[in-house]
Amino acid sequence: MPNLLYAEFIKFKRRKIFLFGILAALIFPVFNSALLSEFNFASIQSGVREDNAFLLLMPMLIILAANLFFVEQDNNTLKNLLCIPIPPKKLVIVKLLVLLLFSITFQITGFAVSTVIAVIKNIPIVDPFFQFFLTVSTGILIWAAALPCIVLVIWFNKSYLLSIIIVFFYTLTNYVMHFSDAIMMQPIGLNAGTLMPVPMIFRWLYQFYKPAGDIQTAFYKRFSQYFASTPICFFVLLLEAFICIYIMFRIYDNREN
Amino acid sequence: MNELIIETKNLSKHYGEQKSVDNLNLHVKQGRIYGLLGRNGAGKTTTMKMLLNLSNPTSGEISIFGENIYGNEGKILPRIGSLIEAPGFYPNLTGTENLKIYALLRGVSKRNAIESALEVVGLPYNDRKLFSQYSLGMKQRLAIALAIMHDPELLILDEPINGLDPIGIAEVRTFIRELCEVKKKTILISSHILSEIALLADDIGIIDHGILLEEQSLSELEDKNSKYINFVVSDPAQAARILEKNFKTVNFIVEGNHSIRLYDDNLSVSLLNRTFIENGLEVSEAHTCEDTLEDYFKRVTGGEGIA
Repeated sequence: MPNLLYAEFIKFKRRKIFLFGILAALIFPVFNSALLSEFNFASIQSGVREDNAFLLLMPMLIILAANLFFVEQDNNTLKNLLCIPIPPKKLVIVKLLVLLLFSITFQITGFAVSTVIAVIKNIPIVDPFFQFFLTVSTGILIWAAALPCIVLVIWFNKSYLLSIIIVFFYTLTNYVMHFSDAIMMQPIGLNAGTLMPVPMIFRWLYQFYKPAGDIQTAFYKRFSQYFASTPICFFVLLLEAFICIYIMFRIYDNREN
Repeated sequence: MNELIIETKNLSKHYGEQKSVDNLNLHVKQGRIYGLLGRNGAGKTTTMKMLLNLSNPTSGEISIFGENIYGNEGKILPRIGSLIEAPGFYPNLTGTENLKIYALLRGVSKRNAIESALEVVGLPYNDRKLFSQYSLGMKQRLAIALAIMHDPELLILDEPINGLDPIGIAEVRTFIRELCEVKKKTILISSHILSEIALLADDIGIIDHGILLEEQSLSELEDKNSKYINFVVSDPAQAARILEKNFKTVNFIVEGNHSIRLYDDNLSVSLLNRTFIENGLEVSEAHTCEDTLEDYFKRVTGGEGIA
């Protein structure tokens, strides 16, 4: 498995997709520090988790997944791997592992840049380990959140244009949903606020937010009864991830070369 | 040396109503080159894909190294080197970098395995040229290097000379023979080019419309090639009547307006010639001939020739 993982990275030598992807983690921390006047470290890191992860990381994971999964088809190399033999399931797992590593690295980069900006602006670094935990956890959860869309990308097979359209709608739908009271203000159960990944992650993350001002405090109080606990959030997202991985296995099993 | 390395029993692959491979019984012996000969679309690649577990058969069994391929892929496939259809590599990597990936995944421990494989196919080691800049011939050579890099006991090569220039074809032919004769590899090679198979193979299987029509050694096939006497006469129909009446034989074929082929080579050419002339026929040519492998191919496939 380590060799297979290493090979996945070698395949992208001279292609800057990983590098540009990680550099994108700088966008929101730099943008926020220039245009917004964040007053505490938690608030800065909250921006990294929500803006960076919901708006940038999610679509990038799906675009990267399309590249990772299509690279074998585009270059007719799947037969070489299957003849080694590398089982298709193992190939799926290793590609998902690459995505997970990318997701975590992206979040850590965002955390590091935001921390540097906070230091430069003389903002006290409070609870750095807890903030780090939340940011890395968001990376894991966003990876799980991207999987339903990646299933669609694999299912539709070899169409980058379709992948981009799917990415656009999936990201937008998820992002818009987390602003909707009708979706978010619902108890845990079989509803969009629980089953859609970004609303679920937001329900978990928001409990760690430090509200400022009357409006935020009132919203925090109103929303607090719908917060998702850490085990519930991870359970739901990882269960969805397992279902998606199972579907990916089935797609690969039923596909002939 | 007659142990079977590959054996299939009633191997079939159907796509809906279409029978791509139909009840194929293939026998590849150890240390020999088996040439699978057939036109494009005859079922050669589908057969090879099934042997490599890249495609599931509709029915039938495949035994390689004496074991059923299904359930034993992990044991069998590492002992095989293969080239199926067009070469597939990562375009943003050099040839050496591409091979390094597969060496890593195969766990090739021999230090100079990549360098040796590239040397065999005449490609430079650690060259900076990317695969995307390779010519078709170079791509094909790299694919062959990949197939032999891990020193497999069995090679399955699907049209390995595709895209090669005449010198490249001769080089590939030489090293395939060397692999078999010097390194004692067993090789299954497919081609639609009859002359290549005739030059390379020890055993030949002729496949047409998914059916294996013949499976014999090259020497057996050559022995079976019919000898015949070809006459160019003024009236082949009358010549045919003379053959039937005077020589009591119907083992002939009238070809065109002036030619007749007599497959009974026990008869004396001079006697036949004299008899035709005595019966008022003009005989302008009389030759003793032998069918070529292509003639044989035409006969068994009941159709047109092959390249």
